[in-house]
Amino acid sequence: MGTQTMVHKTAKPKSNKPKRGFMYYCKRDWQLYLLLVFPITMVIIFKYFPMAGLIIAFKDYKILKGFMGSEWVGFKNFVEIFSNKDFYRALRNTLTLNGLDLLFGFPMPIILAIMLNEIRTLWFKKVNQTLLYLPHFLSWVIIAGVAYQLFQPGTGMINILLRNAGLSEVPFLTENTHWIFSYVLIGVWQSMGWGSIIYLAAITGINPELYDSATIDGAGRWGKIRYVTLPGIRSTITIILIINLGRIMGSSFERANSLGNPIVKEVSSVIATYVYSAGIQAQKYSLTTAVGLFQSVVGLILVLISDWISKRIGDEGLL
Amino acid sequence: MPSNQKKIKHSFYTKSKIVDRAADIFIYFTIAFLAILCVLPFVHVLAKSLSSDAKVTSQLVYLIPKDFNLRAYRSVIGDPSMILSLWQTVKVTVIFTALGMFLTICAAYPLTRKRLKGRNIISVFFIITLYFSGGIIPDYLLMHRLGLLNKTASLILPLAFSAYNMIIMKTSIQTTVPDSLEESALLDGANDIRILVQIVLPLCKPILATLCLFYAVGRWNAYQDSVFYITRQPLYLLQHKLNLLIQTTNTTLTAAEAQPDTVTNPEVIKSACIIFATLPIVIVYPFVQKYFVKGVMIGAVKG
Amino acid sequence: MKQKLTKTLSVFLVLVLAAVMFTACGKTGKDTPTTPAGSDKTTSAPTAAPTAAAQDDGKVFKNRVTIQIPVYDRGVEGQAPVDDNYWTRWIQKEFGDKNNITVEYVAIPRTDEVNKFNMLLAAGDAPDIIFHYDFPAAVAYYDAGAIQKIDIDMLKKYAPTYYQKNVDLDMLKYGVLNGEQYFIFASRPTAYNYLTMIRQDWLDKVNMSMPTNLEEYINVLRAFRDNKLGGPNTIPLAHRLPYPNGYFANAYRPYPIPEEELALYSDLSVVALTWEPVKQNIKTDNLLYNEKLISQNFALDSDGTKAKADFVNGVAGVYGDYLTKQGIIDVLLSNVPDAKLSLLPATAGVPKGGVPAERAYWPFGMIIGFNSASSEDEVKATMMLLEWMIQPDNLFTLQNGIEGKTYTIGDDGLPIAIGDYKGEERLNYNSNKDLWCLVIEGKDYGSPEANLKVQKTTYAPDGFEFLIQDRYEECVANQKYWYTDFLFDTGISAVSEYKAILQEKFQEFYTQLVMCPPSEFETLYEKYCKEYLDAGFQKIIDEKKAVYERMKK
Repeated sequence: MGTQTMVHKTAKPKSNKPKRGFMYYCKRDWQLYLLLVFPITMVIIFKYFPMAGLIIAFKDYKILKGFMGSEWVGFKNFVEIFSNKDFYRALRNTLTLNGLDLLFGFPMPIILAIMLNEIRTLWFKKVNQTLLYLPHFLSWVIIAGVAYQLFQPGTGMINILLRNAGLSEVPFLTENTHWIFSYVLIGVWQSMGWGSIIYLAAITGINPELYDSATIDGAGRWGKIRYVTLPGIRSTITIILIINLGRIMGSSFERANSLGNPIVKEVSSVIATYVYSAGIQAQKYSLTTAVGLFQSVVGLILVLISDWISKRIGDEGLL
Repeated sequence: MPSNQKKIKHSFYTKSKIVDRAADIFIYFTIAFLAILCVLPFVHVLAKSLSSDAKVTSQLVYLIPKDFNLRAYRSVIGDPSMILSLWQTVKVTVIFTALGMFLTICAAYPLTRKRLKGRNIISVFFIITLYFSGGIIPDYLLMHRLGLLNKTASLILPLAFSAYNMIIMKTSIQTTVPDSLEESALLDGANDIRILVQIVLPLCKPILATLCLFYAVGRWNAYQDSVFYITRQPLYLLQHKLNLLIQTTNTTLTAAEAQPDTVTNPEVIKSACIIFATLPIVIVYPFVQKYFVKGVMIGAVKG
Repeated sequence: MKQKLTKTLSVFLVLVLAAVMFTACGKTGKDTPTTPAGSDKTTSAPTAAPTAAAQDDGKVFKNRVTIQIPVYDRGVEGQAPVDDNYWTRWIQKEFGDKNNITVEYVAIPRTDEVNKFNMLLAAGDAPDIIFHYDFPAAVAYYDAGAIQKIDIDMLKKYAPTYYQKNVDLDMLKYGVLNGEQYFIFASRPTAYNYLTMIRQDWLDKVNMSMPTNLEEYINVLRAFRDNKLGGPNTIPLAHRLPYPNGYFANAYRPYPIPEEELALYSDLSVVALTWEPVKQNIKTDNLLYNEKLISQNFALDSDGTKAKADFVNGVAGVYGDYLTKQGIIDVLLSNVPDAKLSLLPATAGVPKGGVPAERAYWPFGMIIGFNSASSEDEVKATMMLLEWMIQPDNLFTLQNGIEGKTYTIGDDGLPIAIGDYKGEERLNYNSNKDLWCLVIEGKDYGSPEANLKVQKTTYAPDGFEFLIQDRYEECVANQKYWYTDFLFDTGISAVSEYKAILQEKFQEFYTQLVMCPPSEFETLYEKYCKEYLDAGFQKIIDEKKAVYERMKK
């Protein structure tokens, strides 16, 4: 069904070409379709089948009655969520934190990749690259433990250093605004090395002849970065940005929960932590699913819009 | 105009060299500084794993082990279930990566062909999986129906296809493989699969290496599926064991249970387990790294 | 040529996928241990030795019955698989094989137990026992329809000792929901190892005697602070973020407490923030905080590691915790060799004129329900397992292991554990507790004296047994002031529903209330009370009130 409407749509503008049926394309591109069969099968089985479970967002799910047997309640679960003050607080915090994450966390891997690319000493580059991506392997519980040992007021190492230097203490993790920035910066620190790998790979794909001709044109180091490297990884940057925009509603429970504390709860409670206490711990799976569905729909809409914008301004899109 | 200026600057040979030198120094120092920041927590965990329980309980261990000893490692390595889990994790990771790469290539390459009908629909079909999921209970029920509970396959198949990696692969093919190359091959009479295997894949080595790394590390670090689908201990993934260990000491137990024959502070053992579970995957990186350090484009484009 | 290549490749691709699907289905045999269940076995195992319970029946099961029992998996390093180890096999051999029953253990990740149980229930795979330590969570399973009614006569017949224990300790009534029995309980022997320690050497230095009421106690803390006995960063009282469900405000409760207040506000799961005693208690904590008598970073210490570190480093003067043989006092002594400790009496926390009330534990530990999908035979067999396990000899072996290997018998006839035994008979985490938690929550050696004796050697380091002894004596003396929570005749479902969210809120509000300047306390308290009520506490009170009034009629 989908393919038929598709053919119909694409056929319109190209009216000079003869209309061809689906079978024609199947025959011509059968190898491509064959390749696609594998991932499509996997996705249908392992991703789309379970999605049927999303209907419990509109039901009063009782474990023993099952997905089908549970009672329909329409939008009751959504009404319950959207009438809850805590949900709005969580929503606001999620958007703030993810927005800042995007603002600081998104460019950092790119900068890092470009800097690493400028290093000529091979061993230095290799060693540092390996070290930079280590934080990706530590769980948030561990990272938070270390962060608190370093940054807490009074006995934290950083604050002891500040005091010894005659400066006043900084409430990195115990004051709302400071906490937000600590959260974001720890996030940047955790993900920058890992995030830079994809850009490093993209830079490797740039044709070296472009650099040579830039040198001939008299471009310096900055010029080469600006006119060769950045354009070379532009499509990768766009794609990652679009994907990340779609995740603006999501957040890691582990990260928010481990880094948060009761003093800064006002800014540290996010959707994931809200769902954990209101839904999962209370065994209200319908509520959990409804929140998840809301996050997914918003995410997908954002992706499609940004994809459309990106194509309008002449970049590659996801599609 | 700007390029003019640059040329003038360029002629002042020494000055430009000084600027260049300064930039180098700046870059080297920044990178070294950031790298140190990144390695410190690791050193901290390592130091704890090599210290005595008493010093760790007193929170006196920062970067240097106190009362240095290897007891924790001896007990971790002497635990056969840890070795079994390590083997299981390695096995799962390798198969998972291979399958993931296969599926990613199968999906990404056709979607770069502009003439393919249904391309957009199929793309959206994949992208939806990035943002929508059924939730833990439907996932569990599916594993139950398929009879995959307590089987290694349940740790491989459900996550094997990543739309994220597929999109990256697709973008990479679009930017690194010139359309002209494909067209000329088509004119030569090559078919799609042959173009993929003989032309596209060799050109995409850096991204293939990257995605292998993404799949492998992603699998290595994930544990939730193992916690839910696997109850037989020889099949536990390392991160599953690690997570239970870390979370158990970390969750607020219900007041009703908080009357324990409490055992001693497992912080040291925990640290040793973290190192044990992380080291194998960390050392994979340098092997993959060579693909980013040297390009492969040079030889491939000629001709 | 070309076509050949293409064909080969496509065939290869198909083969790969087929192989993948095949491994998916074929991996089974090796990984899952085959169950010896099967009706053909019955002939070879003719009910060898029926348990005491089943004797009048002759033989209980003609056909092999398989039961599934949940067991917590805590991921403890260096332990045999929780669902398949020497002791699960021992249970199979000693109990299962003799009764024609196969006992299978189902590992439940301790950190995700509710999710795991729900998955198992959804898939129809749940074990025959469904348990939880927490009453509201157990009620939630009941609300979901996962628990079947318990036939008391059947329980009497197949698990007479277990039943009698439930009767003797008057526990059955807790498991009655809407007039029917749904839960039975493991018992809980009293332990005396939760205690508050004070540095006696500090007291001596400031020349003060042991405080006997709150006012004196605060003065002692002030003296600790002013004399900087623990160095420049002295913390008189090591305080952590309270458990969100452990804030009882005992010291400020009226005595005797009116029954309705007890019913509405005294709850193990949800702190009654709006209740006057709780307010007073938080106010005192606020005073302690603002006078710098407690850790200033207490709110960051949700698991208590910082408080413990402060104490064992000799920075803090007072510390409350479950005493353990290793990890607290021995570490303190290694850091501060001349430290001396005393028990801080319970009265030290009570304002003048108050009584040292404490919440008596429920008499029960694990809350046990039978899966509503279990057949009658499975329930019978499960009851027989409980009955078998509660027999003193069996329980003793499960708790202590094998003489000469995992324990020796001391002069007083009580077992002494051999901690470093490494053979396959070694006990699982916490003396096999996750196996025997079905019948009891701690070790019981028959008499309070014997229990006290064992607790002293188990929990206290050498030379500090007096702490447990003092605590024991204090408990005996104060027992008359202790209270238990009101018993409703049905589950309060609002508690199950709002528990988690209110617990989170309590920690947030508590922190803000303790850390605010005393002048702002009242306004902030009013504001938080309103938010707390809105977040679900009002619903809990309303539901409790309705049930309470119905019960009084």
